[in-house]
Amino acid sequence: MTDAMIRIEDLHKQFGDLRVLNGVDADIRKGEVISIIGPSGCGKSTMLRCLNLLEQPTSGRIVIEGEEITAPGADAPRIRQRMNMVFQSFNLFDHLTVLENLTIGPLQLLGKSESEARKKALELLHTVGLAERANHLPSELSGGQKQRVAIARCVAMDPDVILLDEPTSALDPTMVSEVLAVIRNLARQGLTMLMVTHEMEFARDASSRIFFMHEGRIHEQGPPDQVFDHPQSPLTRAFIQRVRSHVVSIDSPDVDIFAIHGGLEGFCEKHLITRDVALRLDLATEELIALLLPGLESLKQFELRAEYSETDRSLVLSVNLPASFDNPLDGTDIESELNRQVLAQAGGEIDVVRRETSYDIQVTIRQQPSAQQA
Amino acid sequence: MKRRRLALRRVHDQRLPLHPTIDPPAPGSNRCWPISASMALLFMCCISLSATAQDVISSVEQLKQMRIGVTQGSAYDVYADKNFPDATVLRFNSQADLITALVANKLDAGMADGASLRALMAEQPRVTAFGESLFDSPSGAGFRKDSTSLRGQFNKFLAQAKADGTLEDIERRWRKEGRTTLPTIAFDTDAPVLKVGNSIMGLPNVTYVDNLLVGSEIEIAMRFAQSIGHRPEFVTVDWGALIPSLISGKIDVIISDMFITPEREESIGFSNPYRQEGNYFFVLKSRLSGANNSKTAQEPIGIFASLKDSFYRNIIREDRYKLIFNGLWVTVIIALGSCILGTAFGVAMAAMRMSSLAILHVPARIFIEILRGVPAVVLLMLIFYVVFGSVNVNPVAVAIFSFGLMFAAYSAEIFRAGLLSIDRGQTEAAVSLGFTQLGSFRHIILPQLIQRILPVYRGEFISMVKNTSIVGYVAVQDLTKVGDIIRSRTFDAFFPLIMVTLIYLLLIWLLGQGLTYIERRTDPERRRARLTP
Repeated sequence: MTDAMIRIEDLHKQFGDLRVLNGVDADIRKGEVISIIGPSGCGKSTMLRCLNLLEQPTSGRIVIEGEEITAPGADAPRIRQRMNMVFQSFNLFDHLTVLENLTIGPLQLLGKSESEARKKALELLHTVGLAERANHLPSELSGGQKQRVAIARCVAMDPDVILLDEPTSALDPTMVSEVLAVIRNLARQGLTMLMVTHEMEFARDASSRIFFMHEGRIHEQGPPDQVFDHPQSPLTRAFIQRVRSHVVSIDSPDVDIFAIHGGLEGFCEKHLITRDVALRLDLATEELIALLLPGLESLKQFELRAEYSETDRSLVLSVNLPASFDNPLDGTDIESELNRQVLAQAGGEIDVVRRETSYDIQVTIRQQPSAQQA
Repeated sequence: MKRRRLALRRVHDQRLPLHPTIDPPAPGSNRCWPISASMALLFMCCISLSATAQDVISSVEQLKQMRIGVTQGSAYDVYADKNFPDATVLRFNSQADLITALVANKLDAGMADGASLRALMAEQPRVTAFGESLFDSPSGAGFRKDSTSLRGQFNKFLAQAKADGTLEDIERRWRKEGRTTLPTIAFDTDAPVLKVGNSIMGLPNVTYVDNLLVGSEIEIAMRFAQSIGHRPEFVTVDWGALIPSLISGKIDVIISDMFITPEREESIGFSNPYRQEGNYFFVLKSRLSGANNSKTAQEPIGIFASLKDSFYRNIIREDRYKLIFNGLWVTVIIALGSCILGTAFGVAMAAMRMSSLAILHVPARIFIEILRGVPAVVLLMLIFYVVFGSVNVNPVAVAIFSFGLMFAAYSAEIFRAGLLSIDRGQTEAAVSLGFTQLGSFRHIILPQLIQRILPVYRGEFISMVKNTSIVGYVAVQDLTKVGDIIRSRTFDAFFPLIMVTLIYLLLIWLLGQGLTYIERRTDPERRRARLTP
């Protein structure tokens, strides 16, 4: 792989005792658009920040076009000039106008003339659709406009690579598409890009390769079709299929039932889950908690996980229990029967998945045709 | 407005002298005044508005139960304490303050020696001596106890001057004939310096005439210096600071009509006495029985005539405006010097304070806490008399150093708060564009920092400029001190204070404008307006 523009070898990063990156290896070729996906806390952003040395890697090598930037004494400012970054929180320079945000780098760092820098900046603002805002201050722009300016600011430096760290996470949904359109436009122009994102649809159709990261490593990578449609690893599959989950953790007999209701409601609203399903999820959650609460003393704590799969639009409420704990649904007495019935009424299917040292109780809640009409 | 009219009418109803130059201070305007000036002004306002009819003074015995003013640390202070147990003894920093209070009826009597009293009565016709001499006092030059050779030289000089009539001639000219000019006495410019300490006491002892330090004590000091082949350098401090200045080595000798008292002899050594004077009470003529208390007698001239007269006496006569300009210049130098020094120190302290190394941030924190916890005047005197006690250093430099330190402590916290308020993302964005740490500070962080901290910084600066009005404590003649000196000559209570007030207001407004200009330059809204046609 001599044509690799960026080569990452066995990259480690540790914050105190916390190991964030656990040996990342990757080769990136010129012109590639790579989306990095994965659950929160898996080290996506840290990897990106290591690439332009905003974080100093604990160990490992990063080589960019033959130059090892992790070598001691590497000229970090010069390396960063070629590898600009777009941040989740925009980070526009608040005291400068939109135009000055774009020109300050070229003027101070690239030694361009005032008129040259202005001309280029105006052109770029034109391509991101903000030419008429050139003399506005960042505080006068919407979130989407700010992020478009931030992207233009990166491009103004003529970088070889653009790193985008969750560029749309801080935007409200109405503004996401305008920013994605700008990024897509850049991708078409052949710029090399690495983007950490939660926008799965966008990652799928705008990128040339997907990195799925898990626990500080690139767990699976490949073209979007492969990763999204035929993921090799079960972890990837689980992430792709159930990208959305909500966890209710119980560790004390004093359960704040209102906070739990609120959390579930918010989760359902976010994923456009129907009112009917949401109500039944609520009911099933409450019932499971009531069932498990008497056993809290031996369990110490338990977690209810609500997972919504976009692909088959099913909602699964599950709890993982140790094998030593008696399944409260297994009994043959009247009480257990009653429990089963209430849960079945709320959900529909109750499964028990056995593992080596534990088992899962899964309640699958599906949309009911009758409720849809009502 | 309504309140003010009422207050004025009350004064008219009581048929008391109305001082036309006094306006009650508008609420809030007080913010820009130096504390001492505004307090004194407020004090005067209260007096002029609330003075009530006073008892007639008929005997010295009666006076001993009333309010007697003395200069802090003077022989009168000790004497009154011992001999007038029933009196209320009020202590003032200078004779001028005392006379101001007497004229304003805040006081029933003061004390002075015969010669001083004659000079005072010549300038301030409302004051008169009262009763017989209370006690006779010998005056001598003061020395550190260990400088016996200098004391011996003085005694030798004194014996010589008594024998050849020089001393008698000095006493006659200044104290009997009321002369106000020094004879020409020449010195070698490269002769060693003799530091002579004195306090502005008024004629005939020590005072400014035509912007020159003159008086019988000055002439004695000059002749003494000449006799031992030295060149005199005069250090004028408040009366109470004379002995501390001598002990700490700021001065070599006190020649300031200081009475030889047992208390003083405990800490310093005196020469043989060179003068013996009687000491008297002095009171307002209007307080004596049989005085004409009608309004016309006290205020014979109209408002404008009186203003014009005050203006002439306090500013024009003896070219006093030169003294005022010098004082103003000193205040400006101290203000700007402290600001520059304090800002530089403040940046360093803020950097130390924000360091993650305990060896840097702990000392910075302690330093800041101490500097902010000590009153300005105490710190100033501590640095002058203790830290630089035995070092010969220019008092203006000490003032700049002290105020610089205090300003640094406050500005360090301002800088720190400002830096913390700027989002980390700003630096990250700049660094990821390719700026170095220093470059991102200069181009991205600094402009935002300035814009954020300037309003607070300006307030702190103004507060510091006002605080400089205490530098008189370490023998610096700033604007406030100059006002006091003029008061000590003209005994005009109000005009010099109002004048000093107005000059401070103007000065602080001008200095504030400089910072406002920077504030405007860095305000992004205004800057954009300038950039876009």
